[in-house]
Amino acid sequence: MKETAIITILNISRAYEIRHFQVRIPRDTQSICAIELTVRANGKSLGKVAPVENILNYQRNPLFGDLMLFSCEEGNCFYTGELHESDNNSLMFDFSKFEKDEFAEWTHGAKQEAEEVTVDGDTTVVMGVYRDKTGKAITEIRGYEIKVIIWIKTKD
Amino acid sequence: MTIELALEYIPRRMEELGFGNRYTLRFRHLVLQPSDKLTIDAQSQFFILVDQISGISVESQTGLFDLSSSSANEMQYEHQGIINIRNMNGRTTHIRFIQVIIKHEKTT
Amino acid sequence: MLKPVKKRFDLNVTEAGRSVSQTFELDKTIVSVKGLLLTSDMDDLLYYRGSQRIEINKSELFPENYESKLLMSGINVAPKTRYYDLGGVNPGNGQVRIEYKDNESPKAGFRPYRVSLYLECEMDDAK
Repeated sequence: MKETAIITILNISRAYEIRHFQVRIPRDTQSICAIELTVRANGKSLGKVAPVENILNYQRNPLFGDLMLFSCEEGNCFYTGELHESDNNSLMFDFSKFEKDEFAEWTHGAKQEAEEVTVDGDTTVVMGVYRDKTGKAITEIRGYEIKVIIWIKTKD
Repeated sequence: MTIELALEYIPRRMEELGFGNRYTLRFRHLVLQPSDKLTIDAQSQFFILVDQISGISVESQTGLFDLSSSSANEMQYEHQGIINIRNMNGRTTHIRFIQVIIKHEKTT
Repeated sequence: MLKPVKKRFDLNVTEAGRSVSQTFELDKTIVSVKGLLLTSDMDDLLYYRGSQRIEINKSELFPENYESKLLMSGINVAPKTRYYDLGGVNPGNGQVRIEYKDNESPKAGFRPYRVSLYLECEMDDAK
């Protein structure tokens, strides 16, 4: 059994955009095993900006959008997820880190794990719907790029 | 989507989702007054839009149907979950759906 | 074969200090609810203002005034551990009811927001 990733890149430039897309799954796929999502904003990065005194207060994590993935089988909508660039509250109540910009595990998007799913390989095509939500929450950025990473298992 | 296409499409789609022929069909013809808003609870049901009319926005979990919208790159005819329908026309507008109701499992 | 699926249900909070309740229905193929998670598009409002009661199949899982922040999780948590572990609740009639209450808080001013309830479920595809 071998694991490979299929990466789909979407460039989102308009507020409240709804983007439908399809991802082709190779013929020798046995199953889809995990999903990963990443986002990169053009220009300004929105993460890791909270000042030190806010270590006691919860900061809003701007929501970029929602993603739903549909398979061609019983599961139908098998994955739904939200897209955030980073977590502003990962160091909340952690007084050992006085600078919020300090590098720690899970900050700065340096560590990421995939979400496990199970979809049979005969799905052939995965359909996705991405809905932008930055129109409500974020005004500082002009467009961003998201990557939808689909991990598949194939025969050796 | 035309009604003919919908009737061709529904059996295949239900087979694919594992419901076989355990479903009922209802034809729904909705009438919306100017600037009416309607919410339909279609959880574990499907609403297949069989009209292509402007000035109406149909939005659900699966996507958006709104011919005047520039935000979506595809229009969705198959709706599921909680569906929000809005009439943006200044007049009464009619919209037609085929409702697919998945039957409960037989308990006896 | 049992497969994990994630389901999401949305609730819109449009007025400050009010309760919003909604009943959602799970797909008929779902045999067990494993975990639960709350998120929002304005997560600071959910953290400071939210409380809720949740029931599945008419049995209460979380009582009234149970704070929403206790069911939230960050993206800096491994995906597997983000969900509140319910151990495997039988969905029964498939009805999930949430009674969400928005409470005044000086730390987060009100603006309309969305609350999303994520459920980690197990689906039986009858194969």
